[in-house]
Amino acid sequence: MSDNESLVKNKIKELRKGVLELAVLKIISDSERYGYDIIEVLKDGSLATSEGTIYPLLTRLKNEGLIVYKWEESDKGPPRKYYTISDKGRDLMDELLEEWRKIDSGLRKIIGGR
Amino acid sequence: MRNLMDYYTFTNEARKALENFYESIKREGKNYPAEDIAELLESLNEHIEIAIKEKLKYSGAQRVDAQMVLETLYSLGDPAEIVSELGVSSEERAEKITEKITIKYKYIPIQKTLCRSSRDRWFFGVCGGFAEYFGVSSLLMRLLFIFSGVGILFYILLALLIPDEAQAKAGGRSAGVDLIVSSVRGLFLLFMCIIYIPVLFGFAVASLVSFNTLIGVNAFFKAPFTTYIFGTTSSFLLGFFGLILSVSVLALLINFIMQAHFGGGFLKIGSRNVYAFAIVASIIGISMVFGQFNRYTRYSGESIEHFEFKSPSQSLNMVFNEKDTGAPIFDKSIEIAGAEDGGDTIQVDVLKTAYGPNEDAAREHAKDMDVKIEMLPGDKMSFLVSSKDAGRSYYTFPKMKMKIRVPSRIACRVEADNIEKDWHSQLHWMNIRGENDLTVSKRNATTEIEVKNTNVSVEDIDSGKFSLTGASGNLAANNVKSSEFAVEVTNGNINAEKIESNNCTIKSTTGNIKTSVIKSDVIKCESNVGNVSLYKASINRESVINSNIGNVKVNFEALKNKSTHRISSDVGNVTLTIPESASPKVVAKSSIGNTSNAFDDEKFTDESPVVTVSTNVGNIKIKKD
Repeated sequence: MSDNESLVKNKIKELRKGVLELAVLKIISDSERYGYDIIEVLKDGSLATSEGTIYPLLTRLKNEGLIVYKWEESDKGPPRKYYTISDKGRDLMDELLEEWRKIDSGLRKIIGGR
Repeated sequence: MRNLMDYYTFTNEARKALENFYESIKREGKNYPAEDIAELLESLNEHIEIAIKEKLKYSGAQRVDAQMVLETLYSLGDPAEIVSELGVSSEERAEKITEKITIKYKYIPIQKTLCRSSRDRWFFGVCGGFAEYFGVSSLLMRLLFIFSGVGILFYILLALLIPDEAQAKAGGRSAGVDLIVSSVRGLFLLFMCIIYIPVLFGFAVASLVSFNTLIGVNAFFKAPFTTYIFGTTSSFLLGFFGLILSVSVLALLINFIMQAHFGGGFLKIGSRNVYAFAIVASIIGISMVFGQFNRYTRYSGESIEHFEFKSPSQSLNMVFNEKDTGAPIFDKSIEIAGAEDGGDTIQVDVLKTAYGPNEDAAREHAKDMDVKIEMLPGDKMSFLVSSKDAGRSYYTFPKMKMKIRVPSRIACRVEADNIEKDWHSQLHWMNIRGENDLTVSKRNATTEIEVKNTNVSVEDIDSGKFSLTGASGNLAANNVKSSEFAVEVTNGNINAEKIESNNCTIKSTTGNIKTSVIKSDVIKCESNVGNVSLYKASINRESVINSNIGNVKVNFEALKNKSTHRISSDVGNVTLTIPESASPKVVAKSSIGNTSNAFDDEKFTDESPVVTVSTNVGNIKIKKD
């Protein structure tokens, strides 16, 4: 792949990554999810980057107290980690969503104004 | 963490790939909090399990193969990138991501193609590539390469033909490009060989030279003589290659150290394995050389008393090269015994003994040399006495006795050349026992041969006294000149041609005697049970020819005046041919038999030769020639 191609790919990746935390918070705020499940949802929304990077992200969010998890027995296979959002996380998510709407509408104006 | 290997059947490559991935995560995460990494690993493990389960379900396969694992790992992404996601600011992350434009996998490529390995390589990664392709240990491939004897050339050929990993990945196996790249590589290698191999060879040769000097320099040991015992050619080669091996490994090590610590050796090799290889190969090489050293036994000192071959197929080369000391070489006798399995070569070279100012002293000290050599089937022996030393006064052994016990067939050749002061090289005396053939030729010292169960053939001999005594053996003599020709054989035929001597004695107890062209002053020829036949005999003074039970047939070529001849048989016919010109006085008498005498009416004088012919039971026939 040429340098230009990879640069483009990279920029797209970064663009997505910026909103990844928000997306993850939003996904688990609706219902409890386990890691693989989260990735599946992200994939549906075309937001998945390197799948492996979701797990450290989850760890980081947990370390920051934004999400919590609990072990839950699975009907098929081993117990899985189910993630859910904390109150602190929910507050942050609301703030971020507010911010995102601003960015979205702002960007729309800029793009539309062209 | 759940070990997936316990729950699912993994192929070797799949297992390797997964382990590799986890190792990479751990390696990348060593600067992060351990509990975070543990948690991360757990999550990833969970993810992989779900993915694998789905893939198994989808494909209906029983085993987890490399493809499944690698696909999963591929979608997970670069281990370094995953780990870096743990608590790094987005700016830093962006930087890191730009650094890693391409995802570098540290495990097996999904599609296996035969290519030279870039990870597992000592020289050009051929063995490593094969190992990866076949999924076996690269050490095994290397051992195969080394011991199957396919050789360096084959390796180089493969290195040229097989693309390296980068080429293979880029699909760039275009023959043209490859050829150019390979040619450059090949030329480089050739260039390295030109520089490198002579270096190794230099080492080896230097070692050999010093090794040779060690055992070869007389002065170093201050010994009157030195004895070399060499192994056979093959064992010598073995040792030689062992030496080369160890020396080249040494060079390899030096090269590697140079490369590692001083930035640049003469050959570019990059692997820690080289050390292991070097150590193992050194041990092999050194033990080979050491084993060879054991085969070289050096005897030096005042005298040798006993030497025994310790290992098969040795060769003993004794060089007596005494200088100036005047001391005796052998005070005592020497005994040499071959190894039990035979095949030894014994070479005794007596090049010269004392000379120079101490000649008288040396003469005084010099004693008999008594060499007793016991030989076995397959042994070879040569004994050479050479006193060549231009421009010097010298002399050889005053008297040399060799006792050789040979139960096998040997060919023995004894040479003594250029002997003028013949008192000190009087005798080569042999005592040979065993069933064998002995060939003696070109001898000009006095010769005594004693044999047992030995066929002897002698030819072209110009000797003082020639004597052969023994039992059970045939003698064939051709062209022998000697002052005295004495042959006594118990059970054997004697066939002598072109004999010239002053005094001939030929005796066989139970064999036939046949001579042709014999010239002598005196001849005594006897057989107890056997025929005696002399053809073209010229006897100057006296002949006694007798067979107890056998026919006697004599053809005189010339009879000198005043000579006497007695020809007789107890039980047997006597046939005699005398030249007409001789006009001998012939007295013939057969007790029971007819007598015909062509010289019956001959007039003879006191000067005439006298011939007495008699037999008890048999006819007598005397013819004119």
